[in-house]
Amino acid sequence: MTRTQLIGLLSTIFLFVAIYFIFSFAEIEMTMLEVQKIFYFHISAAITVFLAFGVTCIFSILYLIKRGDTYDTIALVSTEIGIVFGVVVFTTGPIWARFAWNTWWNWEPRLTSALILWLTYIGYLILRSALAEEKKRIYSAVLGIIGFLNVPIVYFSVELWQGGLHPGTATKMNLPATMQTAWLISWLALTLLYLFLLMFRYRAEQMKLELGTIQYRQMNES
Amino acid sequence: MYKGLWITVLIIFGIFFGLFMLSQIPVAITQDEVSTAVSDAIAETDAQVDETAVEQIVTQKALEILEARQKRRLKFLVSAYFIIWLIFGLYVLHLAKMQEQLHKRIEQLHSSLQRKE
Repeated sequence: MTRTQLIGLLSTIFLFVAIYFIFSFAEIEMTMLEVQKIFYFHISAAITVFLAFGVTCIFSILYLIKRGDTYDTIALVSTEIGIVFGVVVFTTGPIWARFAWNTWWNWEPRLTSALILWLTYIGYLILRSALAEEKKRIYSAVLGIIGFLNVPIVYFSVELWQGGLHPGTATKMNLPATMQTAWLISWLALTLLYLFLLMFRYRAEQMKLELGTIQYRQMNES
Repeated sequence: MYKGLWITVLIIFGIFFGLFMLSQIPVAITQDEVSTAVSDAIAETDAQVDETAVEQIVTQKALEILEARQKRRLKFLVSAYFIIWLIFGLYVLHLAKMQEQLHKRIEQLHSSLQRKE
């Protein structure tokens, strides 16, 4: 079994465990009742988005310093996965919002800043597809670093701008023990899933590189 | 291989999750919710004479209201979880398909290169 397969298996197991803890172990919140159970994966996916864009930022910095292709590839792959986790956040969020706030969307600080963050990294992918090889790596690396500056703004947006609908950053720590355990397991499961997807997607990029080399060899020989 | 593995995992997960959702979601009814539902039901009913009949009608109505509310909550919950697994499932399948195609293409090119040599 390869490392990727092992991480994939682990993430699957932890996802099952997380589901078990969410539905059988964590107590039911008395305001939102069953709907509150969306929270466990919604918040965990949001934190994984921060993690993914953090990895993009670090590997973009490394690329600008060392100019290694691997750093650029990891930054690209992590961005793509961060966007996928972002899709999860932006679809489960409105479902929650419709029930809790009676609206699918609200231009409140947390939602607006998170949307800007997500769109920045969509821009990262668009930029890469629009520029020539060397330029795209440098410019997207710069965007990958600048985009990450928005992460603390998103995280502290509730405290920075009053009047938002989201609860403050300390709320997670004040959860009952059963809810906190279920949330931590969900977070771990999604982090493992992120890691698995990162390795799986990185392998595809390596294969593309290999394909390019073979095609180049073939062209030279013919 | 990945594709088959993941389809199997997703199907098994879907079956278990479906069974789980159908059978295990605990019914959470608070005292406040019962009181609200009873007063809502009283407001909606016309029966005034027979107290036992009133109580029966009110209880029936209250239960209907509670069931409707719980159905609505479960609809939100199931939609959210369905979407989560759909997004991850589709992305994993997309990656598996991409790898499979790349692998095939590499194999083809390798064999054509070997034939030339």
